Amino acid sequence: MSKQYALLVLLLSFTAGLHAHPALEVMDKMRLGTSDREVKVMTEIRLYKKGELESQRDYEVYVGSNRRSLVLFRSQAEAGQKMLMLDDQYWLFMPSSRRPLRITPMQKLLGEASSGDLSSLRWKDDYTVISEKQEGQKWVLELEAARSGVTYARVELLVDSDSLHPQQADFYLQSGRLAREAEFMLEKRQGRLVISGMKLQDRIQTNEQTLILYHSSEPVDIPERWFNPAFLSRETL
Amino acid sequence: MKWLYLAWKNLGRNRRRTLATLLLTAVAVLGIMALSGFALYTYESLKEASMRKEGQVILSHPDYFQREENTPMELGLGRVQQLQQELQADPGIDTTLAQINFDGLVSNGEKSTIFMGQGVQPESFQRQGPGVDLKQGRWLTPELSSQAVPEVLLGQRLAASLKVQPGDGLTLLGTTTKGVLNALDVSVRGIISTGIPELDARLLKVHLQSAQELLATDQVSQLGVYLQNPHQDKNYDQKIRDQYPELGVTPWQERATFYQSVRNLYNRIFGVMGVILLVMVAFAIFNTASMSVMERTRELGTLAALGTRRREILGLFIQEALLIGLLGSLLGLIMAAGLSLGLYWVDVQMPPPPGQTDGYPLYIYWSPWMAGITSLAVVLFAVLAAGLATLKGINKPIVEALNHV
Amino acid sequence: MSLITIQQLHKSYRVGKQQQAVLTGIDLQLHQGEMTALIGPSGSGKSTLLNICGLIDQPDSGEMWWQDQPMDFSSTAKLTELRRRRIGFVFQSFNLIPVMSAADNVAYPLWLRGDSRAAIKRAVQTVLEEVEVAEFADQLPDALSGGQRQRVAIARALVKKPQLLVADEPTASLDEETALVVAALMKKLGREYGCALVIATHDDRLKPWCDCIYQLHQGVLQGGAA
Repeated sequence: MSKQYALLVLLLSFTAGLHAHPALEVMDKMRLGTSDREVKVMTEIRLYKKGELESQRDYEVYVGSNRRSLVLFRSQAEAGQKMLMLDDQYWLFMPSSRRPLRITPMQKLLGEASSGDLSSLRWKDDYTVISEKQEGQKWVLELEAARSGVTYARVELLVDSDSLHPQQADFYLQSGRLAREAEFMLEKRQGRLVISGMKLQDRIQTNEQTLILYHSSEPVDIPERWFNPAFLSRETL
Repeated sequence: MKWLYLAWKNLGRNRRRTLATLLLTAVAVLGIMALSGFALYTYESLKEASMRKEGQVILSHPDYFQREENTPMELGLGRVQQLQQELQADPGIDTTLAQINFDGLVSNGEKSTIFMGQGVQPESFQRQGPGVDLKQGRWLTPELSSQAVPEVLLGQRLAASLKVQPGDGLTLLGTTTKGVLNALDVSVRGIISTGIPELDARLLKVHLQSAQELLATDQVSQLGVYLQNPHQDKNYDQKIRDQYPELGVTPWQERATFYQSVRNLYNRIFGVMGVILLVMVAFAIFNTASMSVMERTRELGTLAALGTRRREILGLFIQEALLIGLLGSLLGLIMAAGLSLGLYWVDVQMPPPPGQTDGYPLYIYWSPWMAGITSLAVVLFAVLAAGLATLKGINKPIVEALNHV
Repeated sequence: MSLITIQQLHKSYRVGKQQQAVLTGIDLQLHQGEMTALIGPSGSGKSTLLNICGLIDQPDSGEMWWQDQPMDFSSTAKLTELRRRRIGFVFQSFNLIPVMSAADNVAYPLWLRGDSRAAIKRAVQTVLEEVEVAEFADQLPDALSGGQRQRVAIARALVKKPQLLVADEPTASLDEETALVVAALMKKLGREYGCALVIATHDDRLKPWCDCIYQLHQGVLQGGAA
């Protein structure tokens, strides 16, 4: 269950935006469909332990501007829960409580580590490309965390050298230890190639795999008040 | 009897020496009684506190105290109300109290921190006695209506870290039995302290039903059985075991690790000290008897010449030591009784034990059992010491003894 | 019949690395009702001989009979029993037990014998009167004069009507007058109770009372009936 949060925050962090290495911009665009408009992404997260499906959760992810996002939990087990991210601050809203609960980056993990750490991942904002290498048809990009507070200090990103489409990413911790291996799933939807999901293999808890599926992404207008904790604690959305 | 009379007379030979030995014996007895009395008082207090804390007999899932739960209430106890009714039908059982042990995060909106919580029945607060102190606010409401806001009691340091006062609101975050996150808004009813800062930093108490609501369960972690007569605990332990073979039945001693450690520690320390005191008494009496034997060498020779058997002479000295031992013990016991009584009148505070914040009053129990054992031990050591001291003296050839100056 | 018969008794002490002979070839008989004196200077061995008679010392060789029973010096227990029942002692320095009254001191041998309280009381009273210290019955020894103490000691020795009375220098600590009184007393009571008296002394004044006088000189006995 906590993995889902973490993953969500992961999703949220793929905010479209600023000027960075073209590969990073391409990735953000491919996942969200647009780079500067607010979008709603219908997301599903499946958690596998030893190859068996352990849990499956649905989320409505609203990606706003200026690093703001809102996740509405749509599974029956988690109905009514919401998570708000404003910059680096996170709030949890529980249906059985009227209080917005501010949680620390540590606590958003609520149990298992790795997935949650991916939450702070905004490619363009969080990483800078420090080296590029051509290997056959692929670019191997070395990414380094651009600011403090990013959990994975280093990422090795493989993109197609022509299209800059992402194929694989390896996430490393500060100590140099490989934490996760991601495989990007690409699909053609309405004539365009998009990132339809990510397969994540946990390299620390090696019997865990996670599948993130982006079912749809469409532009929306998100009301300002949706990014207001006081509002969110009162209203069901 | 005539020997005892002679022994008694002999004590008056050197009044000062006899008195000194007597006083030393008395002080040793006083020391042993004081130490053992302190230990006994401590054991009684801890025993009572342990029994009050969770009951004399604790019912649970058979594995509950053996291993950790993977999910909340995995090792919970079901059909609790039925169990409580059945048990309370027994006239020897005063009451039963159910409890849930759980943990999670508690948040004031801005900051959240881990808690270790207990869902309890409000009657438990009267039972607990001085173990938990109410520092601010009030105890949990006896009858919480289902419409009312759930209440929480916080440990002092936890309340301070969340910066809350009675009346403020908090939210508890926990995991249900199905592994789903759940939250409960609560109101701070009171602030408590156990005297142990580490506990107070995490401790939280709610009504049993509030915990059940948060965890989405109707089970409990444990059910404490409180007896009318606490001394019946062993009988009821077996009785309940027979009645509910499928349940985990734990006697209070197995849960009272602090009590057991203190007992082991004190027994060892005070036991050694007691033995040392007895040995000192033995040495003193050995010394006194040796001197006495030497001074009375000629007299012993005379007695032997008159036909007194060696064992009768030995017996004489032993009876002298016996008298000193008995009189010294008596005096020591009276002094100990005085000390014990005195401490009831005069309040002497002990400093807080390691890891705790509050001291406690010093009391010493005067235990008749201990009095008997101590006197017996003192007399035994005295008799042995005198016997040893005399043995050499009585084997002296009579002529040599008679010629002794 | 003699009470005690001694034949060829020898005793020596080790002094340094040498054996010093104290008694050499002693032959002696003690009879009931008779007062026997062993006279000699100090160091002559008279005390040693006396102690052997009183069974508080053992000879190196020789024989001794009590009436017609040979004496077994190897068993301390038997010797103690004999002393307890048959022998009374009078010492030069009285040796009364300082914490007991005169009466209790006198009663002591009867305590040992196990007599009843009433019998003891009677016997003690009787003998105290005979030695004429009855009025001091409840006094502690250190409240009495030397003569009075010795009389109490004699009372103690005689109260159980022993067969043998052993006295080592009984008059040495006493002045002339008291010494004579004590001597007369011993003789009288000895006769009355029919015990054999043996006294070691270097006091010539006792001679008139004695039935037998022996001289001890360097371990050798000489003399006989007076």
